[in-house]
Parts: sequence; structure tokens; C-alpha cells
Amino acid sequence: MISARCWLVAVVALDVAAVGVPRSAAAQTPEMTLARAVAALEATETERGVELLREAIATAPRATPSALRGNAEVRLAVASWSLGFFDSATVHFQAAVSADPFVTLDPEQFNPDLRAVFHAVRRATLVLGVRAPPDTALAPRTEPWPVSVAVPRPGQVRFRLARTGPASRDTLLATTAVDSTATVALRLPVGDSVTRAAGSYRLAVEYSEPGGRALATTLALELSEQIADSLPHELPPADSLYRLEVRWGAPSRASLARGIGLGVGAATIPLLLANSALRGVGGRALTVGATVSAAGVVGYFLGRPRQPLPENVAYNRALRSAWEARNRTLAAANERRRGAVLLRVRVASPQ
Amino acid sequence: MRAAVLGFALAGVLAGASQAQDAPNLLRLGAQAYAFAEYGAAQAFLTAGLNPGAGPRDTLWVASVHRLAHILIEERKDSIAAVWLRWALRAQPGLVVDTVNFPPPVQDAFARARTFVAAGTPGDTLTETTWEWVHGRSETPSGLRMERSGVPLSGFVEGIGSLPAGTTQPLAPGSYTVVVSAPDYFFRARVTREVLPGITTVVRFRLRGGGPSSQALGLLYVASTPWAVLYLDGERTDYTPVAARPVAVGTHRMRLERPGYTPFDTLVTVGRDQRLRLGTIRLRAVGSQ
Repeated sequence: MISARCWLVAVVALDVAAVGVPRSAAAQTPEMTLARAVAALEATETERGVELLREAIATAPRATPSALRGNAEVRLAVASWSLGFFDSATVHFQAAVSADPFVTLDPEQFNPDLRAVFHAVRRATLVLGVRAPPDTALAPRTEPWPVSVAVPRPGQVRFRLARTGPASRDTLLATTAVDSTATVALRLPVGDSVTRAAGSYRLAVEYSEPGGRALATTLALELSEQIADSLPHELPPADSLYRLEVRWGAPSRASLARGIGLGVGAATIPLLLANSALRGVGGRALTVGATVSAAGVVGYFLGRPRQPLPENVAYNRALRSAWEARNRTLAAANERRRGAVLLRVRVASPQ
Repeated sequence: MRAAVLGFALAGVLAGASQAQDAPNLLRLGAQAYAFAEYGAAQAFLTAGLNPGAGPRDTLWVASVHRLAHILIEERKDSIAAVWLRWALRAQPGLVVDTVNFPPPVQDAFARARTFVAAGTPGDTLTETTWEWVHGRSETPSGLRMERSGVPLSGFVEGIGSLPAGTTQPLAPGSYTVVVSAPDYFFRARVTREVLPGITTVVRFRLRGGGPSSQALGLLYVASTPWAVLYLDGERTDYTPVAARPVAVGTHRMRLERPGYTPFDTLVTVGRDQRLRLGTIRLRAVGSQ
């Protein structure tokens, strides 16, 4: 019995520890570590930034988006370069291009030396990047399927599509010249029937450069038919997007004078003209006059004149018109899509 | 007869026998071919004979530089002539231009080359340059190599890419700026050198004292957005970002400059072993508030 209790305590203690450890680890996702590294680099705490970037890369799980890994490697390359480790910068640029072949350097933010090193690395790193929408539906005869490619040097890229399975013939979808990166609109060959075209496919992307080097990669695709959904109408623009259509003018002194004048009149006329034999007239008259004057003062502060702003009125009208036009377009598109069969293209293999 | 002799000698040079010939003889043959307007042959002789490691840099050598420049300018290869002249003026800064025997285009080319070279680069005194004149012909590839020096050196060629120590980077003839760094030795240098047609330029860097610098230094860290050129005491150093850049102890004028942006000027005082971190300086576009 004692032994069982000990085990129970031990298990509870391990559970508590196990719960505690992931919490502390989860507190530092690669994204957060990268953000801290960026902050350190901004503050020119370069060595600390390098440590954090290395940590972000080392702790990033395999499923970490390639763009994040590429971004971290680029920053590590820049930090290494600034510290004078030019060879390390080259190595990190290579890692960046390998992780994300679509990585580019903004000429505003990256100096010419870094860009020259990066371009040399990019030309030398044999890696072919292919990026396609992971899951999309398109009208098979009118809408092309966009696929982006990134190549190390200018060359030819060919796209071949083949059904998976034995004795399947491939179809050349497109051949295009690519300098660095490009997005190619592919027409998927579905023939007369989307239903018949449904199935598993393999998209082979082949790159060859004039120098003879060649690269190839494949994407596994699942094609299926999908009845078109109607597109949701757009919500009206938020109130915050509208501009004020009127401006409050300055309070009118004339209205103040009018209010006070009326009050004085209301008080004095009964005093002057009323029968003095009647008791209490003066007091009531003064009360009425004071009330009228107070109303005039309140009117002075609250009753400011409103001036319309024609530019803002026109802007708001344009905003409303644009929204209505977009919704009319959506309505027309829904009319066309009603009952149409779309081709759903899903990338089954990781990109 | 003379042309035949020249042709025979040229065949020897082209066949690679120039190693056997001594440089002054090649320059004399070049002078003869030049006198006969046999420019092709003269160019081959002169190119092979100008190797500064194979003969003295005497009047014959200086005259040969003029002849080669003249031939190249005549052949409308002005850019190649400019490279040769910059190289010659770097090798022989006191070279006097012959204004009597050579036409004004040659003199102008010399003047431009002297202006280019006169600016100098901060790393000149720390750099030793040699040339591998193995072939010395324009058909063979030209290149640049940074010699290994026993310490981990890291370098790159501006506008080209990295230059690992001990590896020859093939380059077209021209002037190139090499940036080299040995962070463990607080060493960073920037030098401009010429790459001649068919010849490999070899640069060696002398690290002060052969070990970590004994000079009182601090380290400067500065970044900017967008990138800019960093000047210290009026001397161009690096592009930003710069980290752990060795700077002599004391106060320095610092400037960040980028076309289209207002320059950023400040005074920085660096203490011994201090890591002075200035953070990221945001440059203002010209005309912005």
C-alpha cells in the first residue's frame, strides 16, 4: 500500500514536471526567439542577436515554415558579415537559399556587398523552389493554376503533369524561361469532364540552364470536382472608414444676444404693462425672463451651426458606391457560378 | 627578315617559352615589334615582359608600360589600358609619364589612372601584392587570390562575392576592392587591386604584430536603415551594419552617408576595450520632415 502511494506521488510529481517543462519551452517559439533576435540586432547587440538566431534555427521543428528559417538564416548571414565573418555569411546565405529558394534581399535594407555575396551564393546553390496554392478551387476552362518557381540561374523550366500509376502518360503543361523567380499560370488539362479528370497526379518541374546543369522536383496533386459555392457578399465598410460630413461652426453671438434679449423682454414687459394691483407678477415675470435667457445661453453653446464638408460627402459616397459595386460584381459572379463544377486542386506532397 | 625573327620569337612566347626568356629581352622584343607597328606581337612580348618579379622596374620597363598602353588605346581597349596603367602606378608610384614620345591619349589615360590610384585605400600599408605571371596571355583566365596567412582570414570582393583564403576567384580584368577581416585579431582592411588579363593577382595581409593588436582599441557597433556608408574621421570604412569594428581609442567624427538621404554626423568617443553600441540610426530622406 505504501509502495503504491509512493508510486502515485512520483507519477503526480512527474506529471507536474512534464507540464512545467513544455510550458517554459512553449514560451519561446522560434518566431518569438526570432523576434527577440531582431530586437537585439536593432539595438546592435549583434553577438546576442547571433546567439538568439542560432537558437531559433536549432530549436525550430522540421515543420517550421521555410520562410521563417530562410529569414533567420539571412539575418544570421548579415550579422556574421557585420562582425567580419564573411565566410560564415556565405554559409548562412547558402542555408537561407536552401531553406527558402524564394528568399530575396530588399535593396533598400541590404547593402551592395551583402547583395553581391547573396547573388553569388544564389547562382552557386543548386536548388529549385516550387510553390503552389496548397488547396484551391478554380474554373477549369477559364482559370489557370498559378505555380511559382525559383531557380539559381536563368534557364528553362518545364512543367509536366502525369497521373500516378503504371503506364501513365505525362502532358507538357508549359515551358518558360525564368531568370530568378516567376509565377507561371498553368492550364490543367481536364478535357470535357472534371469528373473524369479527378484523381492523383504528379507535377514534375524540370529546370535546365544553358550551362547544362539541371534540377527537377515533383509535387503530388489531388484533383477532384467541387460544386461551386456562392461567394459571400462583402460587409459594408466600417464606420471608422467614413469621414465626417459636417463641421461644427463657432457659436453664434447673435443667437446669444437674441436669447438674452428675449429673456429681458419676457421679464420687463409684464413688469411695465401688467396690472400692478395684481400681486406676485414681478417675481413670475423675472423667473420667465431668466429661464428664457438661460435657454439662450444654452443655445449659444449647444446650438452651433453645422457646415457641410463636400469633399468628405463625396468621399463617403465613393466609399459606399465602391462597396455596392463590389457586391454587384460578386452577385454577378455567383450568378455565373451557380451550379458550375469547379476543379479542386490540392497539393498532397509537402512543398 | 626582322619581322621573321620577331614572328619566330613570338611563336616561342605563345608556345609558353616566355619563362625561358628574361623579362628585359622580352621588353626589347616588344619595343622592336612596337616600332614596326606589329602590335599583336608587341602586345604579347610586353605583357610577358612586364612581370615585375622577373626584372627591374627601370626605364625600359616604364617605356614598355607606355607602349602597351598606347597599343591598347589604339585597339580601342581603353578599359584594359586603364587597368594596366593603374597597376603600373601602384607598382611604381613615382613613374614619370613620357609626354614627348607618346600621344595625348596615353598621357590622359595616365592622368586618369593616377587620380584613381592616388586616393589609395586604408589597407594599402597592410597589404603585399604579387602577380602570378605563369602564362601572361590574355587567353588564360585572370583572377584574384587571397593568400592564407596562418590566421583565419575572411574576405570578399566588392560587387562579386566571397573570396575564401587560398582560392583563386576568376575575374575579368579590372580594379577590384577586396575587404578582408580577421575578427580574432581585430583586423579589418579594404584594398583595391588590379586584375590583369591572364594574370592572377595574389594579395597577402600583414596582421599587426602577428597576433591580437596591442594598440588601444575599442569596438564600434552601428546599424542604419536604410543601409549607408560609414565614414570615420573622413575615411570610408564599411557599409552598415558594422559590428565589433576595431577603432582607436579616442573621439572620432562619424558620418553615415547615402545618396537621397540627409547625412548623419556625430562625434563618438570610444574607450579602451569599450563596445560602443549606437543602435540603428534611421536616416531621413532628403526633403522629408
